[in-house]
Order: sequence, then C-alpha cells, then structure tokens
Amino acid sequence: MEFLLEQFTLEEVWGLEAWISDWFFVLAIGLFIIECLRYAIKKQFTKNLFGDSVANFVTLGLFSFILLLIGAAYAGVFLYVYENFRITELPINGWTILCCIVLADLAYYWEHRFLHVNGFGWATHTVHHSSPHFNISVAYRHGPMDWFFPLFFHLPLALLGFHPFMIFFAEIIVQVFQTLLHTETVKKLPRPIEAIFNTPSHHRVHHATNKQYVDKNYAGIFIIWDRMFGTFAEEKEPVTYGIYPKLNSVNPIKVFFSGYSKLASRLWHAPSWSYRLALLFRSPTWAWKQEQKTQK
Amino acid sequence: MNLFNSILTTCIIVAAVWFIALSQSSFAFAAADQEQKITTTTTVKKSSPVAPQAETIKKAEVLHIAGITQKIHLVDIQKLWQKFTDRSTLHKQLKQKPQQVYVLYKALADNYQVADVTIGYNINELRKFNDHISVNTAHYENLLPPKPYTEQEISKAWKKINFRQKVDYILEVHNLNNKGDVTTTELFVSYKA
Repeated sequence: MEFLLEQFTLEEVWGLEAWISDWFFVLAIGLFIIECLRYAIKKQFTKNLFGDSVANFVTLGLFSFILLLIGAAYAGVFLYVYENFRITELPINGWTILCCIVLADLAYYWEHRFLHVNGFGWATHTVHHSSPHFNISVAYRHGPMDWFFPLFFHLPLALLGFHPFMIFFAEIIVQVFQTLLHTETVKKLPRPIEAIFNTPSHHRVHHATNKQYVDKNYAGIFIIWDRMFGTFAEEKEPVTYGIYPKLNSVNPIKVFFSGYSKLASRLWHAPSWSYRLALLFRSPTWAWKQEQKTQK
Repeated sequence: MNLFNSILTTCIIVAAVWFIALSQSSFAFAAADQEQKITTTTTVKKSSPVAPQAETIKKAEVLHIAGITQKIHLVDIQKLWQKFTDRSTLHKQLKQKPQQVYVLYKALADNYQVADVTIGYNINELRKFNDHISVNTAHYENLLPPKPYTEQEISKAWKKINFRQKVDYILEVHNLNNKGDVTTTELFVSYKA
C-alpha cells in the first residue's frame, strides 16, 4: 500500500491524464469498429446508424473546439480558488487521487441529476440522449454547454484541498469509464459488479425512454449512489433509446444545437414570464407534458 | 431517500472521504516507523554511572538526515545543490511538502576548504530512504538565529566559528514555506569534546 503514498509531480499528473485521454480514444475507436462489425453481422448496420455515428464524432469535434477556447479560463477558475481559498492542502499521491476519484464520481452523480431536472441543463444534455442508437460513438455525442456545469459541482473539491490537476484527472477517469458503458454488446456482468459499479446494463436504462426507466441511473463509476439515493432501476425489459419528442436528424449541426434551439423556441412562444422561468428551472418532462396538453 | 436526506448523506460521505485523505500522513508515518531501523553513527554521552537523575543524564538528541552526501570543495557547494535538486527519487519519498532542508558539513579539512557535505531531509519527512547520516544535536552553538539571510551573510557567519576548537560538524537548517522557498536559515556549529 506504500506505493499509494508515493508523491507525483503536477507534470506527471497532467501527463498521465493526457496519456489516458488520448490512448483511451484509440481504444474506443477500436471497440466501436467491433460494434459496427457486430451490427453488420446481425444485419442491423443501417444508413441511419452510420449517419448518427458520424454526427456523434462531429459533435465531439465541435465540443473540443469550444474547450480549446475556454479551457484555460476553466482551469484558471479552479487554480484561483485552490490557491486562494483552499482550507487545507492534500499531497499529490495515489491515495489522494483515489479519494478524489470517489468524490469526483459523487459530484458527477449530482451534476448529472441536475442536468436532468431543469430545462437549462437539459438543453445541453439532451444532445447526448437524443440518439436513437446506443454504441460507443454515442458516448462522444456532446452538447454545446457540457463543459459549463461540471465547474460548479467539482469546484468544492478545490476548496477541500485537492489540486485542480488531480480533479481534472479524476474527471477524465469518470468520463472514460462511462465511455465503455455505451454498448449493447455486453449484456449483464457478474452480480457483485452490477451491485457496485455502473455497467452497460445500468446505463442502457439511463438512456431508455421506457416510462419506468426515465430519470434513473445517473451514476458515473459507482451505481451505489443511485441505489443509495433512490434513483436506481434495474434493466428488466428491452429498452428504446432517444428523447421525447424524437430528434429525427443526423445533421451534426442540428443535433449539436437541438437542445438550445428547442429551448429558445419554447421560451419565445411561452405565454408568460412565469412560464419562461418554469421552462428554465423545472424538469424537461414538465415542459413536454405542457406541450402535450396544448396540442390536445 | 428524499432529496434533503440524499444531500445530507452526500455531505457525510464527502466529509468521510476527505477525512481519509487528510489522515493519510498519520498512518503513512506509523507504517514507516515499523519498517525503518535507525542506527546511530555517533555515540551517546552518558554521565557517571549513578542512579539516573533527570539533571545528570541528558538523553542525546539525534538528527537523522537522508539525502545526498559527497566529499567536495566548499566552493563547489552549488553543484551538490543541483545534484540534490535533481534527485527526484528522494523527493518522491516525501510524505508532504518538506518543512526543512539540512546542509551538514562533517570531516572538515584543516583548511576548512573540503568537507563531507550532506544535503537532505529529516528522515521523519520521508516514507523510505536508503542511507542516512545521524548527528548528535544535544550540544551545539547557534551562529545564526532563524532569519532570512543572503549567501554572503551565511558565509560571513562561518567566521564566528572558533577554529581553535575541533569542529565536529556545521549544520545549516533552511526552513521552507508551502511553495518550497526558503523563508529563514539557521546556522549551528558543534565542537568535539
């Protein structure tokens, strides 16, 4: 266990994060090719699936471009808070990084839950859920404001004394773990794993439009948060993926901005200011139900 | 679990994990204590063999330094500092940001131009270390009280050494802040009996 106490330099943490991020993408592409072959063998490789996958990677490119523009400012906020307001300083070693990953995963659970329960957050996260398919490329389907919300949920870690580079590293670990969950290739894993960790089965439930599966399984790495906080559902029936209303497009620009353009349209046509506030702060399910009422 | 209880549980979990992260230095230190075998290279002086009394027998205070040791001309001290800075395997063993760096001068030549110089950390600040050198700090004379000094001022302080007595060792103690910058320096000399 002593190796967990061996100190890292900041350069080593940064370098390890970049290495994992880069090489994991290569691994993900390899796994995606295997998935495509599986779809081809099962005669399920359609034009729509191909177009949807291309759109997913284009949204990744668009998201990465935004990150290039704001990344320094994002890191700067963390570093400023850490340098000026941290209440203690934690050593940069394996043990602290493990603790940081656990807390970053817990922060991710709440951030993810937040994105599902208000219109402003859902407008970016709906992009990720809007695909009618479920494969590794969907993991890279990003919305334009996906970079914004993690700041508020992970900044407290800097206050607690975790160096920002450790926080970014932990965030990457939480994200790359979830990338592997976006697949129909793996059915269910052994029960101890299904009990503790997020798995492809649990994440299929999260992406489902089946009524009993909506707004369930927000976890990143550990499904125990959902079990603990009452947002868990087990996969018991075949799932259908996507959102309501369905987004019938593989145009990557339309996909990328679909959430905020829909929100803007609703805000524009809202009957009152209180309705507009409700669109921003209330659940997207509420907004959809209001639309169903007016259409009837 | 309702939302309020979920948030409350989250706060408890965060506090628990944070406490585990904060506590790591104490159980790391306890583990290191069980593993390390400390051997002294200097003998402890005892008073005459009568019934032990607190004022006649002084328990020797010993400082153990682990770092880099080399016989050098004192004018080449900066090269040794560079070697110390480059010794990443040593710095990686630090439990946390070091509070002091020691520079120990032993086996000084008669002309005080050459010495066995050790630059290192107190072994209490390290999880693992290979060799270390121990010095008896029970008897010493303070040449410079803890203050910020320039290199010239430290060198000048060496002139306060009583060269008519045999010098056992000279010890520089550099106190560090959280960023690893030297805030104050102290200079001690210990003479042989």
